[in-house]
Amino acid sequence: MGLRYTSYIDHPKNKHTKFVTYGCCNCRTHLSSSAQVMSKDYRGTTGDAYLMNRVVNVVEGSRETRCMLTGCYVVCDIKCHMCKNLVGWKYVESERKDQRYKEGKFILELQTICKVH
Amino acid sequence: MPVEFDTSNSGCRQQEGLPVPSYLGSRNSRPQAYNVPFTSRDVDVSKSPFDKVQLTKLLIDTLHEIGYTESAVTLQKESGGVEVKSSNVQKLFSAIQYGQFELIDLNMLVRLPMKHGGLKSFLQQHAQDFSQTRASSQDSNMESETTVCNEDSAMKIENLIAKRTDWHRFFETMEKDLAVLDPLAQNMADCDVKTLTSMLDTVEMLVLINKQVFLELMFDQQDSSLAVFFLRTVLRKYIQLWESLLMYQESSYALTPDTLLKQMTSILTCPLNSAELSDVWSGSLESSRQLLIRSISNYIDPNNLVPRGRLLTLLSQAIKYQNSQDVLNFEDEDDTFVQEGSRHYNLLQDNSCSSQRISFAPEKLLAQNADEIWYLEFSPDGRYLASASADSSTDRKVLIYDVERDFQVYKVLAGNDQCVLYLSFSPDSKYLVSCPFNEDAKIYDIHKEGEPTDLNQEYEGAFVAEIIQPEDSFKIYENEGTSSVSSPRIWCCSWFHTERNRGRFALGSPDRDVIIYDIGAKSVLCKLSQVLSLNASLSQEPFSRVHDLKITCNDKYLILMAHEFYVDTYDISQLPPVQNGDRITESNIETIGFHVSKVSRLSVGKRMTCLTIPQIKDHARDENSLILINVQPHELQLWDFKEQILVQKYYGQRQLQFIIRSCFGYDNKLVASGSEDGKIYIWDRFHGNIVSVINGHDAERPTTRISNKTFGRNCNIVVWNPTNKNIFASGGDDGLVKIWKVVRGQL
Repeated sequence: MGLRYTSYIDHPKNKHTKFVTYGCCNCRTHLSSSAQVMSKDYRGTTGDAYLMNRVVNVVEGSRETRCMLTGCYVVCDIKCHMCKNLVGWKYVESERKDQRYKEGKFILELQTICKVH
Repeated sequence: MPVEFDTSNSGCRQQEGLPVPSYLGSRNSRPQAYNVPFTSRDVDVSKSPFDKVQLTKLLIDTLHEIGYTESAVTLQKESGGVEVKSSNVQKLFSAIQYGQFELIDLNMLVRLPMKHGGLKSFLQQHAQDFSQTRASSQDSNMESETTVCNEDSAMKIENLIAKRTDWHRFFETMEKDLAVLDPLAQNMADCDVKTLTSMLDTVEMLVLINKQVFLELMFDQQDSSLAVFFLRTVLRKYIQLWESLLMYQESSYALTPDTLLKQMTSILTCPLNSAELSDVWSGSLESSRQLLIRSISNYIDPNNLVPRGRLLTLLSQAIKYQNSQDVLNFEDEDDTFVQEGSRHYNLLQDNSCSSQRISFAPEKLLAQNADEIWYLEFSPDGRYLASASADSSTDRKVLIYDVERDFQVYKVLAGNDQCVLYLSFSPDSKYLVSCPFNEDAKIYDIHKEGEPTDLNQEYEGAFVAEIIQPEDSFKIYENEGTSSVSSPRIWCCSWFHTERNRGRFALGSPDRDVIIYDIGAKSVLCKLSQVLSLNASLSQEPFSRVHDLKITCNDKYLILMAHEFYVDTYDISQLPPVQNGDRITESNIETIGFHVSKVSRLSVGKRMTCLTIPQIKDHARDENSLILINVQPHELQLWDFKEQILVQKYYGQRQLQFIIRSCFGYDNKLVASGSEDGKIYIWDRFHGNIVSVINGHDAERPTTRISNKTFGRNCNIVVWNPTNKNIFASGGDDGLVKIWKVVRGQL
């Protein structure tokens, strides 16, 4: 699907001295930043993962139901829009009411991302 | 007298059955009144916005020009003595024509109806001498008027005998006039612009006349001693006077006083060769006098002297207008040069000129790529076309097609493990730089031999395409001291064009840098971010994230399209030239010193996806400060980066989230772009109207080569062949490269 226009996440001036931008480890396209991290206590298919509030420069795959430790969710995989590298998934719907806060949020797997600038 | 229009004569009209876009309908929906027979009374000259006297002057002048002298005289009589030239102009011109230079004086010139207003009143106020001389010369003028009239009638019976010019009387007059003008010129500083201009015009005319006299003395009279005397006593002083006036006012005359004086002196001192001679002396007395008359007429008010070929000028303007009414009509510059004399226009009806119309037809379909086409580039010599594909499964991402051999695959450029998104040919069409996603850019020698492959099987008499490996690959390493271990990604590339920067190219990175690389030294020449950081005033903001860059054809400007919604232009003409043997490297460029200055910043304010500069063949053309950018959403913008103005916008194509690229084409008269609906959009560059929309890549491609692959429907790029303006290529998400041709005339 063509070559997508890439957005960048830049270090906000005068704020967050420890600001980190996360990018796709394959092509270094910016994906998210340390300011968007909601929780670092997640496990993905490849290991540790972060729950992120917002992620950019990704394309969403088809929806599927996946059962995890905290219950079943409708999720879709997210891929880096440049190199189509699988970087995590997005929670679309949750079966359990107490997990609703994850809806619309993203998981980024640490194995697939790196610090970029 | 009713006039019937012959409606059957529709030879060059649009024929029925051809699809005509709705905006062309104006041709068929002419005002009804046009077809109604009208009488001569309908054309009421008194109601027209044109002045009857001017119209008559134009007619008389045209009759003279096409050789109907008698009719011209008759018309002149019938119109009650309308004069094409006023009597003063006539007097001066006949004096020049018959070499009676002694009749010319300041008085005569002052009476001329000048374009910028006369000097008469000014002279009367400021020069008492002048009014005296004027009074004294009144009688002689009366005399001369009669002689001119006699001469005129003598001319008519064509038995004029060339009278010897009284040179000394001419010299005296000129010296006298100089004495009048010189003191005036001293106090010109406090005069208004109008007086200055007319003063300058008068002096320039006198210089021209004197120059003619000098040349005649030299070449016609062969009297070099008199010529030297004249140059010393008169001509030089007039030129000096002219020069002193130029301090206050700009002149439109081609030569400067200095060069003119040099030219004149060199005629005296050294014999000129024939080329130089034809520059100053047109050969015969008559033709050089005609030239003088022509250059003097530039100073004269057009109301009193119809400019040469005025009617023809008006008519050709009308033809141009008629042609411009047809949006598909593009005047072909090559044609007009070749068929200068042979093209004829019908003056008695509007030109529809369907033979001039432009349309686009598919020529070839190249399906060797398995995945989306992201970039295409013609080599500067127009012989090769390179395509970059997003193919992730094979090592066949970059293909080179031979344009002259039916677009067979010439080479396969292997060695890229990541998708390639940018290609750039060197100006000699020998090297190609490919920029993949990551930082690993590669240089190929496209003529290198390699391993054969079977890509051309479907062609008859096919030749074997070869897979070649890169000549060189490079990464740009960060400086020591930065925390990062990675090198900047390289997303765009542009070669330098001129000999002084041979083998150099600039690479743009989204990681805030532009790198100039030297292929001969195989090393980085400089990093623009570092060069600029030495420039203290610019160190405030970080270097922009470069998405596209171009170097203008004279290697003077580097244009960067930044992610931050602006386009920056830098002057890079200070880059030290390539020297044989002693290659400049990054280490010694600092000692040599390389100063970069920012020329302009265009604040586009929107997301941009592509930057293009016009195809330049003629380096003198002023088009080399134009840039074309694709702007999201849905538009293209044409900017002038020197003037910093938005010249034109082009609408219609779709682009929201993808990188869509565009180009100039057809001698830069057209602008073409890809689109997210898979179509190719082509605009008239000047008027901004859509010329054509071609269904290029919107069909789903049958998945023959790879299964389970869903293709998008973008047309990602359109490129125009730089040498053959009738060929362009487009590439899309369907993995196809399509070659199109420009068709002139009806299909």
